[in-house]
This record gives sequence, C-alpha cells and structure tokens, in this order.
Amino acid sequence: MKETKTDALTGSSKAGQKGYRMKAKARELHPNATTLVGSTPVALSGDRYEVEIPGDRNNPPTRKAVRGATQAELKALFQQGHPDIEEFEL
Amino acid sequence: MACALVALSAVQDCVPNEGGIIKSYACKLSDITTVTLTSGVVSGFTMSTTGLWKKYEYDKDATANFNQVGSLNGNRFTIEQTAFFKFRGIDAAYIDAANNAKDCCDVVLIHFLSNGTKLIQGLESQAATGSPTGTNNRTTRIVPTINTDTSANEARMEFTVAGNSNTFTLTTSLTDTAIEAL
Repeated sequence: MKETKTDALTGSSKAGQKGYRMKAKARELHPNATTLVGSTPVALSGDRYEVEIPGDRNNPPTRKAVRGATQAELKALFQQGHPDIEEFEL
Repeated sequence: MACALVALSAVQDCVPNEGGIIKSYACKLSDITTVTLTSGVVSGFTMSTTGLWKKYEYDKDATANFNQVGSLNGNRFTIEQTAFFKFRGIDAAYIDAANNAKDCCDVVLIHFLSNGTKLIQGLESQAATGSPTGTNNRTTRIVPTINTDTSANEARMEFTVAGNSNTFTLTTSLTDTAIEAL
C-alpha cells in the first residue's frame, strides 16, 4: 500500500488520518494470508490472488480467487486485535 | 489457567445425546498463521493461503470418535487426545492419501459432533488472539492403517490422529460452510 502525506489529486493534507495494512514481516512470510470477514475470505495484503486447488477423488481441480481486504475490513481486524495488521498515518 | 471450580449439573430432559464425531476438517499446523478468539471460542483462522482445510467424510457406522483422556504422573497433568475414523475400501487414492498424511509432523483437525459442538484437536488452549501452539507434549500426527481384513468384513483405511497436550481442546463457532470458504 502506498503511503502519501498529501492527496495527489487535490493537494489536501491527510495528516491525522489513519490507514491499515498488513505488517511487512507477516506479508513477507505469508503473502497470501487469508481470513474470513463474515463468510467471505479476504487477503490481508489487500491484493487479490488466485490459487489452483488440487482435485481429489470426488472433485476436479479448480481455481479459487480471493479478493483483497478493504480498508474498512482491515480496520475491523486491527480493532479485533489481529496481530498481523497495523495502523499507520496517511 | 488459575484454579477455579464451576457448578455443573447433568440433570436434564432425556433428549438424544449421541456420542462420536460426524465429520472433520484437517490442515497442517503451519498452515494457520493466527487463531482469532472471541469470548474464549475460536471465531476465525488466518491461513497462509486459501483452500488448505481438507474435509474428511468418513464411514458413519458408529465407529468414529474423539477422546481426551486426562492423566496424572505424580503431579504432572497431561491429556492424550486421540481421534479415530475410517474409510471403507482400498484404492490407489486412499494409499496416496495415507502416504502423504503420515508425513505431516503436526496437524490440526476440527471435529464436528452431532450436537453442533466443534472441537479443535491439535492446538493448545490460548487466552487471546495470536499464533497457534500445537500440542506441547507430543505433536499431533495422523497414523494411517490399511487393512484388507477377511471376506467376512470390509476392507478399509483407518486414521488414528493422536497427540498429547496440557489443555483440553478449544471449540470453534465456525460453520462447515465458513471453513470450506476459507
């Protein structure tokens, strides 16, 4: 996630506003870390990813996509005490 | 955990109270990066990627079970956790699954009971959201057995999942749909 002190379009300051992101070390260890928000899986990195799920005796292989977590979802996870999410100044 | 005694009563209506387990989900301990707790119940997992929980739908023939047996050695309390379930038949896919399962050093299973309770085997209890800890005294492993038996009985593959812990299992509020989505 890009950190900017000033909004590039309006030039207005965002001083005091908070953003939420996955901690760098956690992202390095588990770039596709995924959790549930409600019943929806989301990637903590904020980036969408896809993986191949191998088939088994009953199911063929499939591709599964996971969307990135939104700022609101990351904020909620941070407030719940998720250890891999941090708050930062915009 | 601090010493505390809680009043309990087994007095209730004679509603059905079936033992045993009806299905389970398994993953490697290393697949779980964070366990989220809400009021002492696991309300979420963060996984290293999606699609890592594997479903076990075993024979429903009143043999599947999960037991936690406490014991004292001197003043040292430990709990032997053992699950047992089996899959009828023997084929190449079962043999492959058995060969892969036996090589997992530390596994976590969520066992579904018929009363709706879900027990998590393979994790020590924890007080707050954070990284999981596997069973402390002996890691939880799958021990597969493949038996042809005789023509009077069924050929089958059996899984025994065993570990030794300091605490009884956590429970989870996650549904089967949520686990499969994760």
